[in-house]
Amino acid sequence: MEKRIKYKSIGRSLLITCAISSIFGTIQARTAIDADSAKVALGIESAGLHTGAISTVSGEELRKGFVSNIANTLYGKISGLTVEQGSGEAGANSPTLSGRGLATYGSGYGLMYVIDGMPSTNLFFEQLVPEEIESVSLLKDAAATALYGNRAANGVLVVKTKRGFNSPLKVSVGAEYGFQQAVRLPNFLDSYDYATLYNEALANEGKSPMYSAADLEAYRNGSDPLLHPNVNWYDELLRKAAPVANYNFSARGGNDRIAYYVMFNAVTQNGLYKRVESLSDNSKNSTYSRFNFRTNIDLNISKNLSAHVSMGATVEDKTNSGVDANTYNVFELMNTIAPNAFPIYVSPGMLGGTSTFKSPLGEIAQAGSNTANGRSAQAQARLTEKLDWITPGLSISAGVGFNTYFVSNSIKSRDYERFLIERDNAGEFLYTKFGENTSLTGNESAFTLWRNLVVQASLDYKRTFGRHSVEAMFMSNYDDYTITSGSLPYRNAGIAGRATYGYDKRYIAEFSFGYNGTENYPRGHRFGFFPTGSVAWVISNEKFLENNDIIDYLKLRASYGLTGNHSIGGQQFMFNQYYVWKGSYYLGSSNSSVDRYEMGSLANPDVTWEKEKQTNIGLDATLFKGLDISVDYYIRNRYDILSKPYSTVPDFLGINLPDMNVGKVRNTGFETALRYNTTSKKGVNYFIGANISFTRNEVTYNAEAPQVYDYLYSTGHRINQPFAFEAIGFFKDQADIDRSPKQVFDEVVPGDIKYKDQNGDGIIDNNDKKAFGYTQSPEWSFGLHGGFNYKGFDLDIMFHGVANRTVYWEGKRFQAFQNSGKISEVALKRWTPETAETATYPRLSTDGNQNNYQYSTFWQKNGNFLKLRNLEFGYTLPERLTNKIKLEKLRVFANATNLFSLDHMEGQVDPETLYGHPAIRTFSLGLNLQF
Amino acid sequence: MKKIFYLMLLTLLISIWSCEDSSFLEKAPGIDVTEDTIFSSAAQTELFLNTIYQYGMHSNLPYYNDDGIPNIFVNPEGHIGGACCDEAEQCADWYPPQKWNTGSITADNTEDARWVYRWKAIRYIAVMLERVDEVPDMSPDYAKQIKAEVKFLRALNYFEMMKRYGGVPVIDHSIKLDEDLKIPRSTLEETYNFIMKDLKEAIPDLQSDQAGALRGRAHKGAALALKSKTMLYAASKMFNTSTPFMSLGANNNLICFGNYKIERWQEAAQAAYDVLEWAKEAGYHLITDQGVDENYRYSWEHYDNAEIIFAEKSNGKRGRWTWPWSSIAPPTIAAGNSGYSGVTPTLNFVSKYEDRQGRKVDWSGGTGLQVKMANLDRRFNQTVVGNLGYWNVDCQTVELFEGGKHTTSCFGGFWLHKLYPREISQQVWSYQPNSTLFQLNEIYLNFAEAMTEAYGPDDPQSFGMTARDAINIIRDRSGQPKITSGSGIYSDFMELIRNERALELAFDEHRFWDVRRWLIADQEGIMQGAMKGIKIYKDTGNEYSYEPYVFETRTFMKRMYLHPFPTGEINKGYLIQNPGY
Repeated sequence: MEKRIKYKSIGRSLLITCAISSIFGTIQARTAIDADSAKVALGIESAGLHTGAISTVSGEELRKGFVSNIANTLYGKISGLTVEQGSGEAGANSPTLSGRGLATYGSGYGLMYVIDGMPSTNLFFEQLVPEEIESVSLLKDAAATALYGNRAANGVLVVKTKRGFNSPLKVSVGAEYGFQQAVRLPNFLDSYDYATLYNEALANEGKSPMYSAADLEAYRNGSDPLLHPNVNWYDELLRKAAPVANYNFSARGGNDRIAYYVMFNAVTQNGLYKRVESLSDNSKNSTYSRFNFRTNIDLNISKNLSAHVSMGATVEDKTNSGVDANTYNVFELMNTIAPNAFPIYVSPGMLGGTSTFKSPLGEIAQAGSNTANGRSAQAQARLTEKLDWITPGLSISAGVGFNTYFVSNSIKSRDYERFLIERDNAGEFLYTKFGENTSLTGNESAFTLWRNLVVQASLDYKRTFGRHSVEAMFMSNYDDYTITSGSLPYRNAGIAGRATYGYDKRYIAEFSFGYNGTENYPRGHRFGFFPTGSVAWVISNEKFLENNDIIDYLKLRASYGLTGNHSIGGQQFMFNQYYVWKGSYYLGSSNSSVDRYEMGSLANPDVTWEKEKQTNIGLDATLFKGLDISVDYYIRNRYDILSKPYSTVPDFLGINLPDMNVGKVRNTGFETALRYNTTSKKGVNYFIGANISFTRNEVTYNAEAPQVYDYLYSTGHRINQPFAFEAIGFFKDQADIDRSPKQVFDEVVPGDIKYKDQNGDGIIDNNDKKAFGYTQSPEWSFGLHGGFNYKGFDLDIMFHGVANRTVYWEGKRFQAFQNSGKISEVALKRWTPETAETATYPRLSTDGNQNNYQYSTFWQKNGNFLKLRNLEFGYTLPERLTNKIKLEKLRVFANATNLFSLDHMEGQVDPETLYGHPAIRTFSLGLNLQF
Repeated sequence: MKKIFYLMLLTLLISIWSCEDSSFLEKAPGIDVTEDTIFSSAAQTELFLNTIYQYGMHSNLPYYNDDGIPNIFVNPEGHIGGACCDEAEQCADWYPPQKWNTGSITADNTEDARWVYRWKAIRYIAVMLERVDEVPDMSPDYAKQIKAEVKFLRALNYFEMMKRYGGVPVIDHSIKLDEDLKIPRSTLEETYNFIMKDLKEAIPDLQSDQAGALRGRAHKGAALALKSKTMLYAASKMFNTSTPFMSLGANNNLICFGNYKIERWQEAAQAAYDVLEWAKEAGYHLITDQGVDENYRYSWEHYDNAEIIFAEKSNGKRGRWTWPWSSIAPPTIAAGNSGYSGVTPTLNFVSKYEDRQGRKVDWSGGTGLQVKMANLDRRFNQTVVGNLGYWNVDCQTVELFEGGKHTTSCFGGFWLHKLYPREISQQVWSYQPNSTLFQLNEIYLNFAEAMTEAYGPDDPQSFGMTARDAINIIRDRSGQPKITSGSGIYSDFMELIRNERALELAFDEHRFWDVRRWLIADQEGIMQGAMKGIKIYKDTGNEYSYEPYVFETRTFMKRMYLHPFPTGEINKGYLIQNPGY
């Protein structure tokens, strides 16, 4: 209890400090707003002196194309940043971001987020819109991330929002309208093909056919849509195009006392589902909207004192037709129900259905609705005081930040009637009813609240004495993060510092450190010291490169440092010996139930963060007055990854072991970014930019249990390396089966997939799985960005590609008739005795085939792709025209997002979104005015 | 004014800097329970004690490791040992006993699903012993009693391991991760001594009996009975020898004492007698007041009767369609069971029953089956259902003849009824099992066996009771004639005792272990060779004839006298595997 009070009092003193400082700070005139203060808090020093590996993209570049989640604007934009697309469903479409690939197999591989200088999370990042973004930077090497110490090892994504500047008011108004559509819906076969192939599958199993010739004929000619239906649920439930819109307004300006930036942005999207409100009063249309507000103000209070206030807020509402929070279950249902299972309506107003399957249409139109109402606020205030009266170049700064996101759910649900239709012997229709029409019941009680508080202070020093440049900073940071209904708050506290020395703009040496702690470790083990050293040599400033036509700028950089990752996964406060409530035990003559507590996993008093030693060598150059080049090579050695040390500890310990910090991963790679900019005399301006990132990781130690064969070890392979049976064709005939090793999963027949006997023991079992393929996370990422403008016309084009990536085709979409599922186009080239030579798919079977559906190389597919992420074409009216109507600028544009993908998916599926809600493509037209 | 500002900002820097010593990062009070919470009050400690019971107590009933069972730890193997020896056959193929019957018990295919649970119990017990004295609101006497109870449980679990493996690592404290974890097997003698030490320390501090809400918690009788059983096993041929059944070379002392001492039998006799003395004081007695035709049945069927010394209570009432009932009830009688099995006693077993005149019964085939069964030892009817026998109110005539309603999968020609109370029916569909660990009839037989080995059949020593007296008490209450010198179906008195033990303790998880501690499991018809049943044919009128036949030929590998340690554990490099695996 005492401890708690102490904590509170310190927290209060921090707040009071800031409050008092703003009240008593003397107000004096000041000439310029110190933009450097924000920079330092971000951990970025003056551009000329930097020695770390950092890639940056400007907010302007993120605004091309229509994207409702800002994280989805980053594909291919930042070298070293891997962005893996998720679902296409608005409001549930977070991609997976990782910096320089994966360096840990622990659960905490995600980036650290810093928004306007304060530690934050991806949740708050994804609440932002491109409109309000000044820049997004990825801090990659130890020199760049050192200040974040125990959170830095996965890389840091630094986001800056736009601020005002010393200029007259500039107002921008924009509107954009368009539509989105699903990309590559599954190609399931229709009822006739389904029934024909189902009969074939039955025949393969020696069973008699289920569908008679008359049935097949009815499916073929569609003459009996009630008893021989042919339903394509995607056509029935989805719209061809769903409208989207975006509106924004911003104003920016300032003078020598105040600078401001205000913004309003609204994005609205309709879901892919049909508008169900026209069908029923029991559901709501599927929609998504988000309103963003921002006010950033910088104020010079006195000659030396300035204040910076940033406020962002969002209102995010998502409605899903149907009782679930997202569309997953309905898409899964559509993927399952055979086209001939039942008609949409068995009679006007009577939905079809069976005892096993509900009606997908009923699920979205009759079963209720689910609305999530999210509100977020991101607020921060910072004061900066110049301390030139102590020594020139010294300043001090302190700030607080508060982020909150609250989402409450309104769920309405009901049951509804659906009917199985049959014909009795007399030829009359018989209807069997499932479910009842009930009235809607509501659940308004679900909510989640995220809170994040940050307190920071820093001292900065920056001065140049003749040829010597000196920069130093020292900062302290405290932040916590709480999720209601989750665990106790996550807290971080620490200090960090950096000292940089530059000589004659040629030689730069830097030392930086973080000394940080978190709540998750026992007292005495909470803090870690994370030092980094780096050097740079600006060769182009040497005498021997003066008056050189080729090299305009050339800098070599090298850094080496220790960083940490405190997001280690596992139980919070693992150093405590927890006891867990378990079900009851019975005792007593009347055999009554008594409660009991059981010892949880063994406490790990030595639990600590992951650590990484990273070496980075890089160069930055500008050649031929327009070609910028940046190259980095790195070696990351991650260790102390939390792992289960199963292999060596005897059972007689009598308890589940804690995870221990024993794992090791090595990750190496390089990044190259090129950009060429030119302005021709004829008014054609163009640029072309490319970035290539390669990353490869290897698990060097993960404490795995001893394996019978060396190739079974996951150690030495990539993180998440798939282990698969090696498919070596189909069994030709019984003789082929007889002379092949025995496959233990199921009775095999000709046309089944044949696996390679890796250990030569004559049996194909789990000991024959071997590492094959890459993971779903690519090793190569490419971005190709180009554009030009000429006489008011402009074009911007962005390609994104990945390579060394493998995806796995499984589930109902690819594996025919699995769990009473459907069959899709890929199965047409199935094995039959006649097509044995050309078949690309195993013989059909009606049940989940235990042999063919084993995890094997057969279903692994090359996951490489090249996508045209954005294409935008615009026209800006000539100034002489716009000036007449008192406008500074008027631009109209058309753009397309995710226009096409070149890949190996045979047109069946998007290479990144293989399940659930399909990937989407968007087209839009827009108008932008500035005055 | 200005200076105040700087000073405060500096304070801010320093205050955060010094946070390692402050409470910034101290864990906030939560609703989680740590070990300190557990030992902060007697009530919480009791909740932890319940866990020790849950892990520490096993059951002899065929529970199965399955979600529907509140306590999956009692007997996760889902079968009775009777089906792994000559007592019976479990009728469904998938049941684990088949591994014993085909000789396919190996280190990769072990048969001890409680292995992990036992080590957990042993750890929890150590934690309790280390910390229970800290509990502020617990009386020293009660703390003592808890310590005695958990020591009993530790002894029980070590005994269960000793009878399976011989010597095992002796773990007497809660092991920390930084200790040397390569603790090797202790010798058999060290393991045995550890059990004896726990029992010796526990017995004086245990309550004489437990009643009411504490029924099911350990008491003196339970500890004495465990002591008797442990000593009987230790004195048996398996362990009480200089040369084990298979050699482990220099490590023979892991699986036997390394010498034969007759004192081990003498101590075992004393230990059994101590239980009988305790029973008198505590009011436990053999059931003798239900009549010779029902005494025996009452002792296993009637819930918590005066003959049951100690029973596991970790499950409440169990539905008739699930374990343990589903493993015993024949599917032809109680359809819709989770287990779909039924247990069929073998002719090997049934032919051990004498007739009511104390004569050996001829089972070579022929007519008159019903007459023959009607004159068998009364315990036959109270253990087994033969043709036309009574199962329950829903099935009053069990048809086991060819073409009969309940013949399917009844290989032996008999269904097991013991363990399954007759009351369970469609009306009474949920029933509380007697999950007995120690019953008084066992103690008489322990006494008889130890006395015979130590002093011969007719030497009462100071106990006032001979081995012969003890088995006659057991026979008498079921109406079998007393065995006098020269009577009985075997000339060797030890054979008589073993036969009596087989019948009286049938299906109570004894014989599967007895035949191995006596080292007779590899004899034809015990765990090796032909398992016989009878085929029954309906003759004219109400008569039936029968024909013995071999329904299964079993393989017993000599290594199966002891269990293998699992391969995974052996690979960790601290255990010496038992011979033959």
